[in-house]
Amino acid sequence: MSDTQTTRPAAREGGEPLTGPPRTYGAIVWGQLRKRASAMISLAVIIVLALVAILAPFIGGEVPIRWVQAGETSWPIFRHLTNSEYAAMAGFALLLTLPLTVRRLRPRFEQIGASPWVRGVLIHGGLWLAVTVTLAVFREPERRYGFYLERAHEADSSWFPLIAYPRHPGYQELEIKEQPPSWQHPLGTGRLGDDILIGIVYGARTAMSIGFVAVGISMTIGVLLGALSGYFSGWIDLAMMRIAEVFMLIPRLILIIIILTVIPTWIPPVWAVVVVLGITGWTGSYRMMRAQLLQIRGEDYMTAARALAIPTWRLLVRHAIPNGLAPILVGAAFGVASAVFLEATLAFLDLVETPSWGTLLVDGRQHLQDLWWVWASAGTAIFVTVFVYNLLGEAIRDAIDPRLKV
Amino acid sequence: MIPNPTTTETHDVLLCVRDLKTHFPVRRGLFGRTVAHVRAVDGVSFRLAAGKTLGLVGESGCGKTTAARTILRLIPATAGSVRFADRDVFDLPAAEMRRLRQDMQLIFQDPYGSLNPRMTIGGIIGEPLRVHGRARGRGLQNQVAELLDRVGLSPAFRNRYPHEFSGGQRQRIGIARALALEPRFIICDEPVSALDVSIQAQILNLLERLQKQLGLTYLFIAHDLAVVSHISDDVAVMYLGKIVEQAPSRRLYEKPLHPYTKCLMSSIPKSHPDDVRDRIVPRGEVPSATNPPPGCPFHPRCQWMMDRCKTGRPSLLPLPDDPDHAVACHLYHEETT
Repeated sequence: MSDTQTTRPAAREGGEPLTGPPRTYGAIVWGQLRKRASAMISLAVIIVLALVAILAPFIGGEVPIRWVQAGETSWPIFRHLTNSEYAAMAGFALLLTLPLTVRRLRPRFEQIGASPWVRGVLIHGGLWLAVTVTLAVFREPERRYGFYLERAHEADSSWFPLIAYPRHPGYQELEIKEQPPSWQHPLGTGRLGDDILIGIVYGARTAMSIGFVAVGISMTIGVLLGALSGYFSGWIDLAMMRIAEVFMLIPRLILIIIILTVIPTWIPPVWAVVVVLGITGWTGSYRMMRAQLLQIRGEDYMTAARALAIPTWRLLVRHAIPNGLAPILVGAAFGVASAVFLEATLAFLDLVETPSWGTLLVDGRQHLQDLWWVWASAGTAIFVTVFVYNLLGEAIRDAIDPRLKV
Repeated sequence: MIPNPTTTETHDVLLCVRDLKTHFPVRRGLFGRTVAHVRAVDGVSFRLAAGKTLGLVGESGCGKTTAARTILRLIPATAGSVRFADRDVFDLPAAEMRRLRQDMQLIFQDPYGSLNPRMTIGGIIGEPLRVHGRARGRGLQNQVAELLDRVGLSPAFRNRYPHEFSGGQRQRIGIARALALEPRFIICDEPVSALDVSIQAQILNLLERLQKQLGLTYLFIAHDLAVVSHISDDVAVMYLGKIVEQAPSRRLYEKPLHPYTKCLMSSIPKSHPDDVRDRIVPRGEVPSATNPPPGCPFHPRCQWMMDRCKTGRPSLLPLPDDPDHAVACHLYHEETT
């Protein structure tokens, strides 16, 4: 490979140099999505929901963000956040900052042939991890509820969350129970004097985590098994297909009810639900990925890769799965919607006690006429979430249309 | 006995295919009972000397592509053997095969389906180098640039995606990928059939130039005799999974012997309008490869058919007066076996 004439002029027989930045498949799909107002609106709503879920303690709660007393300034909220709240914040910050950095770094990384995404995740992940671990380490033990609210007048200055009101039952004021929406309580209060907006904000956490985690688990299982099944076919496929059929027959709701009655008390029921949803819901993406693979494995680029002795795992991960993933995303969007819905159903059946939109709905149901703000808020939240995920799923489905010029 | 026009140069035979058969089972019913076999490749033998090009022609479905993929062990063979550089390809353990694959590569017909749409050009060409531990980081980038340059593309294309290129450019990318591991032998599976005629010439010239520069050996598959005879030293004509005639390309072009070859030759459009074109059109359709006719596979369609053709299967034998020209037809061989 040394005798080649490397110093040929720029104009080559193989065509004119292209102009403009390279267009990835993702960029093309994104371009299609951007044309669609409903997709952009639903994406914005989802991002707002995610922000609300992650920043819930800043929106509603009793712990001040900033507290100045006797000339001493402190930031109590950072001492009260839990580990999982820190983890979620770090992950979200990573998601938000990564694309920007990758775009900026891309030219540099492409020159040395490294993936800007891998490096970006390493750098940013490390950075955010360091920040959150530092904050978490210097955290003080949680003070008892109501501590700051009772002493609010002692502070020289303080920044409380938007709705400065205890979120834990038992510390809320019963005398203001069942109040219709007002400036202090924009969505009113519940039967125990709980603020409904705080309930909605923290309920968003349950909804988002159930949706994302359950769908994440089921998609991972489904994509991997589907890829193996479709690629190897034969008896592996036969066996997996039968297993998938068994899973399809399991009534999820009844399984969850059974599981919730038998699990030990130290396991939070919400996580049991998430896991059950995850490990029973993979059949859809499995079957889709399998069908994709049956087609993809016959493609010439797969044959080329095999002729080049590319190892099988790499063949699947780099060549097969990325080409079959797009339709799975549609299913994922719809899956999140149905997981949110199912969680509300479970709460409605009084099976999960985690604060969620479903539990609010139940509270409201018993006072359908006099506490309309309770069920209306929760119902609207559920409706909007399910609706935007469905809208997004449909938009993705149209955007990845195979007739799209790729 | 192996009929073989290139036997004179046995010392540098790179590829020796012996009685290769690839049959696909046809399964029916609940238990997948095998009811028949599609005899896609049914007894193909040839030798290919290093640095030479063997053209393989035949109509669609005659088993050319299957033969190519079987030779590369991408499809399991039913019978026969393939020796590449004095090693039995079908008998190698996985690790050895992995090494051998670096020496034999494949160029595809469809420039659209043969490149992974989710990978950049640099990724596609660089992947084999990376996987086989040939290069990393900046060294890899340099090699990719060099390969792109070698096939006449700008190294600036490295970060682009296949859908941004034309068919001819994509075919060059496919060629660059095949060249990445510096193979000795490349199977070109109809590399120009999907391209415009003007682009066809460019790609053929590129392939010829690369052969000269790198000392490559080609098995060149096509259904277009004009293209094949242009690039090949020898040409083998395939019909229903068998080679029916093999000869140096000029001789085959000037003096086709097998009735099927004559049909193919007469189908080449003449370049001058006044040239008379005596088309020999075979009767009927190509028989099914599941149930090939007894005797000579071409006999139901042949206008020179004799009684002998219905029962006796002709073997590919060199002509008495020309050992380089082999034909499987009863017209040219006296009663044998």
